[in-house]
Formats: sequence, structure tokens, C-alpha cells
Amino acid sequence: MELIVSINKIKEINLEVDSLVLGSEFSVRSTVFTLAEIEAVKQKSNKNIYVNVNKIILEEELDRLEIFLLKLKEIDVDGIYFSCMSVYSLNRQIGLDLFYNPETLTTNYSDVLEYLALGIKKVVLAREITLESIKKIISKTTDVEVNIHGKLNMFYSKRKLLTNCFNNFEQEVKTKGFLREELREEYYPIIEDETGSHIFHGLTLSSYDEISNFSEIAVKIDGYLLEDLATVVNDYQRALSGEKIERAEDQFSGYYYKQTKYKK
Amino acid sequence: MKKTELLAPAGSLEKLKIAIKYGADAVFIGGKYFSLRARSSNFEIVDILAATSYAHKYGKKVYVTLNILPHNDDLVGLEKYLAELSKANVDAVIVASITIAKKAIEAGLETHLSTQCSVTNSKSIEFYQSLGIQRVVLARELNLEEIALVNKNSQIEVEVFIHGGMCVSYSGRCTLSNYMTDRDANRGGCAHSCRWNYQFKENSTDQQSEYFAMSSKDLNGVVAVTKLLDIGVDSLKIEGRMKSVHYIATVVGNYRKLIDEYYEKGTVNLEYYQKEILKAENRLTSTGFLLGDVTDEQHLYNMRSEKPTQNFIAHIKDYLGGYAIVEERNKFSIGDTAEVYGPNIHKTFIIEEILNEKGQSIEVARHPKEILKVKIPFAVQKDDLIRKVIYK
Repeated sequence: MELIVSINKIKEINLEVDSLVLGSEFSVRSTVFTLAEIEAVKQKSNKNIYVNVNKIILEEELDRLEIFLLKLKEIDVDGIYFSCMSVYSLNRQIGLDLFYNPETLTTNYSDVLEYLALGIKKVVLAREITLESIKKIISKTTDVEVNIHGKLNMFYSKRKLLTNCFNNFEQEVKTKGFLREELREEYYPIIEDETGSHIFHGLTLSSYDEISNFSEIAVKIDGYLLEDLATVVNDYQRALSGEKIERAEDQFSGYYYKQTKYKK
Repeated sequence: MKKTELLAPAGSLEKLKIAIKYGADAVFIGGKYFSLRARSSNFEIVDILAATSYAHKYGKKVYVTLNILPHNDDLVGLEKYLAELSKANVDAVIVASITIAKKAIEAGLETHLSTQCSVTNSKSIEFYQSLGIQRVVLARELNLEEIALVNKNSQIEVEVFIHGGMCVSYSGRCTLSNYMTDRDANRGGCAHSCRWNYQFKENSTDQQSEYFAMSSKDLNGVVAVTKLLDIGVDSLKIEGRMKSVHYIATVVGNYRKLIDEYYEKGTVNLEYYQKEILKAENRLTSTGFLLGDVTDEQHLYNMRSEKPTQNFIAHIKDYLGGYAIVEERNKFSIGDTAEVYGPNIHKTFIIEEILNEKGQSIEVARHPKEILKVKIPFAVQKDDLIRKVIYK
């Protein structure tokens, strides 16, 4: 098993994991690190250093993206996560290790195998499939990654939804807070930034029991919006050594045991 | 110069025929399998065959959506289904999954990439082109300048949404419906959770809350059509497999005329087309991303905008001896001013005589689907529509 954590602060590079993920100017839903910071981390740490390049890219950004990928190659990072296929095309001449993470789109083993056959090194699975489905995919290939822990993004819009709404009501604009649907109790974190608006599930996904199914693959703790990553990492280390860790009240099991309905 | 295609939706064979009659160059439909919009994807293979036979008779095309994001067990029967579609002579399939794309291409089907894949640049297109995909439907988040750049640099066909409902999120990147209702948005079960009402709270202990909504107005790209024709995109797509015959006829018919008029004269009266298309809209519309970043103008706040339009009163089935045989849709009366709207007609008259099935003269038509005779002082054709003219 490869234990990966995406971090928010430089000092978190000392966490006891195999690999670190750093956000970049071309990432969404991750803490942004500058190229200089990425380079420094790569030099300082003997862990695998991966970079999030998972933004949806505009035509006018392609040249800048290519230069950025070349620099990552120079720094010799150990792989990048991407969502927009322009990264794949540009990387043909660059040769970084690619991890495909379009979040909601990777839902079956057949698609996963197709992407791997194209030279992509690893595919991150969608969070909306069951544990049974994940196990079936792992039985076909171990070049997959599962998000085992973190805030689950449920919605991504390019629109500035909070700004637009507050402007409409002529109220002070806030870009961070919670949404509550009028008939439901849950609070969903919402964040607006320059890449758009992001809504997350109110509970945090955790996988203390389920992690034992993932011994042959890469698993990631998505640190975005989480505070105390050291404790989270420690919990999983204990779970891996056989200790029983209870799911906390503000945590849930995502779609591991819940099948969605196909049709209306 | 190649003419830009006008692509229309159809939720049934009847609507497909209307779309073609009113000027669509191609129509997209949902089969029973592998398609989003489960409720409006009702075409069995035999219906698909009927659709392609009808369309091809008029030199028009039929595309079938296979745009779900399948889970492991959802791919069973795919190859057989694709072979059947190929045998049914469909002109292309619209897909989001790479497996469905590859199998469709292997089956010899022209394959278009769905907007679910959020394609926003030509380097992404290059990737999909290398798989053998022949057309990409661009993400709805691009403005005209961005579309022009992508189109210029793309070596395969580019399709752009011009009209109809739109996700407020990037298509495919929203699972609100999954988490809130267990209905899988990316497998045909979307519950439109984004259109519900929300409260905003600054923090989780906040007693105060503010009203929040994010529902998107529907897209209306009339103001952008001539620019898109100049850019030379390959296809302009109208969304709405759930929409009515009146909506399809009105929206498709007016875009057809607008496009033809622009190609012919180089200039068009956009105000006229805006006004005409509004006659069939039952939700508020906006220009989406086409003219630049969206503001609060493109959203619906504090209101649900569905208000069924009442002005569509009858669907003409035939015309005999000065009388139109019609199927009633909404109430109308002797003395009402009405207009006949069709692919080749747009004329006003006053309703002077209505006969019921027994041939008796009646004052008011009030039963939807009832077959009636209405006296019309000029010749009309099957599938022309009658609207009540409402003076505001």
C-alpha cells in the first residue's frame, strides 16, 4: 500500500506517509504551493512528491501550462494528478508520470483499463461507487487510487455562486460558509474562489475499517479543508496495525455501502 | 463554406418528426439503454429505426445518446446494443465513457463526445481525436472568444449548446443528487437538487441564515448565433428532450429561419426571433457563458420560473374545405385572435367557428386532446400550430 496525503502547510511534509501531494497554480480544491516551494519540498523530502494539476484548462492557458509541466519535469516530481485531457496531450513530449483524477467520471474497471492502456500510470476512482465496485476494479488492476479520507466535493461550478447571489440581494459578499437545503438538516461547506464554486458534503469520509481492502493500491488522505492531518495520519497508521478505530460523529462511509438509483 | 448544423432534441418519434419538419438538420434522441435523462429516453431499437428511416428520407441525421457514466455492471450488453444501433443506421452516438467511445468506434459508429467531459481546449480535443472521436460537444462554460479559439485549433468537429436547460455546475461534475436523494445524476437519475432552495450560514453555529439559490436560467443564445456562424462551429445544439411539441416547433423553427436568413442576407432582426422564441419558453432565459462570465442575471432567485404557457391552443392535423382539423391543447373561444405558426407560415386570424366531433358549433374549446374543426380563412398544413395572440 502506498499512503498518500495532500497537504496544506509546508511543515506537513514530515507526516508519516509514503507520498505527498501539493496543489499548484493549475489545481482546484487544493492548497496552492508555488513552483519554488514545490522544488524545495522535492529537494528536502525523500517521499514521492506529486503535484495537483487538476484544473479545467482554457485554450489561452495552454502555453503557460506547457511551460509549467516542463518545469515540473525539471524539478523531477514523481507524478501529477490531472483532470483535463490537455495535460495528457501536452505531456506526450514531456514524460511526467500521469495520474488521472476527473473525480466523478471514473466509475468502472473497463474505463480504468482503457486509461492505463494509454500510458497513464494510475487512475483515481470516483467516490460515488461502492466498496464492492472498488474491490472488483482492484481485482482487474492495482494501478488505481482510492480517496480514503477527506471532504467530498459534490458540486463544482465555474460560476461565482455566492458573489452572484449576494449581489442580487445587495448584501455583503461572503465567499465561504455553509449551505442548508430548506428541507434537510445537513450543512454543506461551500467555497468560492477564482476557479469557481465548490460544495462539499457536510460529513468527512473515513475508511478505518475499509482500508484493509486496499493493501495493494494507493490510498489518499485528501487534506483540503482539514485541520489536524497528523492525527488523521496517525489514526490510519493505527488502523493498519490492527487497532479498531471508530468512525467519528462528523464522519461517514460515503458510498461504500450505498448504491445509487439508476433511473427515476 | 460548410453550413453550420442545427441540432434539435426529441423525446419521442412525434417530436422528432416535428423537429425535422421545422428545420432541424439533425436530431438527438435517447435510447432505452446507457442514456441520461432516463424519463425522456424511450426509444426502443424499432423506434430508432423508424426515426432514422424518417430522417434519412429528408436527408437529416439522427444521433443517439449513450452518455451515462457506467458502473462496472452497467456495461453488460453494450456491444450488442451498439451493433443494433449500427444496423439501425444511426448517424452518430454521443458518449461520455471512454469504453463506450472505443466500442462505438469499433462498431463503425461515428462518435461524438458529450459535454459531460467538459472539453474546454484544443489539446483535450487532440486527445479525444486520437481515440477516433469525430466531434466534441464543448463545455457550456466557454464564451464566444474562447469558442472561436478552440474551434480554430480543433481538427475535428465542434458542437456548441445554443439553447435550453443547463447545469449550473460543470456537467458531470455534480453529485448533489446522488448524495441528497441517492439518485445518480450521472446515470440518468438527476433530481435537479441545484434548483432547490437553500439557506446560507457563515458558520455551523450561526443562528442567522440568508436565502440562497443557485438555479440557472435556461440558455438562450439568439444574440450569439450570428457570431457562432461566423466562427464556423460545426453544430449548434438545442437542449430539451423533455420539452413539448410546441417548444420544439417554436425554438427549432425560429433558429432555422434565423440561420438561413443570416446566410442569405448577412444580417438578421434578432429582436423578432427573441420575441418569437419567448412564446414557447416556460422558464426565464439568459445568455449563459456565451457573452462572458455569468453574473446574477443568469440565475433564478426567490422564484421558480416554470409557468406553463397557455398560448398554444391547437395542433393542426389536416385542412379540408376551409376548416382545420385540430387537436385541442389549451382553451380558446369564438372571437379570439389566433396565429398559425408553421415551417412555412406565420399568419393571424380571428376564430369565427369551432365545430365539435359531431359537427355541432361550439363557443368554447376546453378539452385538451379533443379533435375539433376550426374555420381558418387561409390554407394551412398538417403540424402547423395555432397560438392565441395575447395583447399585453
